[in-house]
Amino acid sequence: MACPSFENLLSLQQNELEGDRKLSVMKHLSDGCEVCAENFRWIGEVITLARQDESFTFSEDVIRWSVAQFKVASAEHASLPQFLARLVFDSLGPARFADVRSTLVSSGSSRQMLFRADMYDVDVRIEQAERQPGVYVIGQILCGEKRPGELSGFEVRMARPDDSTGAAAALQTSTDSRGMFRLTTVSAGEYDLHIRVPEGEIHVPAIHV
Amino acid sequence: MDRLSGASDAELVSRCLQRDADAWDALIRRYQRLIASITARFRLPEDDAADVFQSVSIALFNQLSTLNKESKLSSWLITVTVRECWKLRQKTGRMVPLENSLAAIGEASCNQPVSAEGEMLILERQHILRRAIESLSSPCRELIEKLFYSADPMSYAEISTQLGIPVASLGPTRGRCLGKLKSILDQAGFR
Repeated sequence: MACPSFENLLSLQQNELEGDRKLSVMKHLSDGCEVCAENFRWIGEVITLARQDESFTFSEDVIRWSVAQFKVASAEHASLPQFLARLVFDSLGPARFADVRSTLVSSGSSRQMLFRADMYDVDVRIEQAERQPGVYVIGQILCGEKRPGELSGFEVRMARPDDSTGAAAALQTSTDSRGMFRLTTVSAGEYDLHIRVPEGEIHVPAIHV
Repeated sequence: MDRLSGASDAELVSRCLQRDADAWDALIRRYQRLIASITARFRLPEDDAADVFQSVSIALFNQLSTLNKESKLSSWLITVTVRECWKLRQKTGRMVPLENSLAAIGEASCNQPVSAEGEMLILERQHILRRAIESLSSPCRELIEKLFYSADPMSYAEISTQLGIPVASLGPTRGRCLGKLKSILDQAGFR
């Protein structure tokens, strides 16, 4: 008998062949055709691998977060080690990823977020400004491996994603002796937060204010 | 990103090192299901799986410069992803069922060189198979996905209706599609 087709081998694997056709394919395999035996084994493995595959695709938000991180970290200060911050807590709940974060801070309310970047934690609170437009961005940098005094004087800058120089003086400050910082009357828009630490630079991308 | 779909891993990594965000997008899309398949085997909920993806993509970014040689990216990603799943599992204290070999990879990646080669091999082969199927043209890609990847196996009549292929043609078509798939996998060194 000539070698059976892939279709017949697959049908045999799936237990779909019957009668004389099944017998002739089985006889061909038992007669020692190495090519067909290998194809039969191959089909079986492909089916098994596919059936056991539990993979899925992540949401577009998850992918876009990663691309946003990449763009920020690649854009500037390329010679410095870059520490990409990831969101680990958001008081507004499930919108977990950078490019879908929307502060949505209404009057009298605040929002708390915690980011982690290498050995550092960055606590960010966004509060509605009093008697003026915009919001306050209040934060603290924390590190279990450093004493509080070692967290002072770090340059903190909030810049538009397309403002690589961070020229807006009002959006630049530095940490105090407790690692805290405060940026006042931040107007609406999307910002990246940059913190220079002795080991390099921390990036928190795409915070919507 | 289509222009990069046929690029090799080494080419994508090289472009990433030149700050090409499209290459990064292509790279993480290429490997997202490999990462996802590991989080699924750890039975992580969606949010935890996304956290693992975050951690793995950061680790990948930080290691890009060491991955642009001939190193096997899939093996590296499997090791890092299992380690991140393992860390998350220990941190949350959540007892989840997972296969012993995956646990072995997790423990090994924390303490010693990776073992559990059999489990890694399956994950890598599943990744290669998915990539090969993605490269098939229509209707082969859809037909094979429906035949072999559906959680609930579909009848020929259902597949026929969905793909617009007569029932009588499904058998010969799937045979031809499998032949094409084998050619692609042979070229990829899948034996």
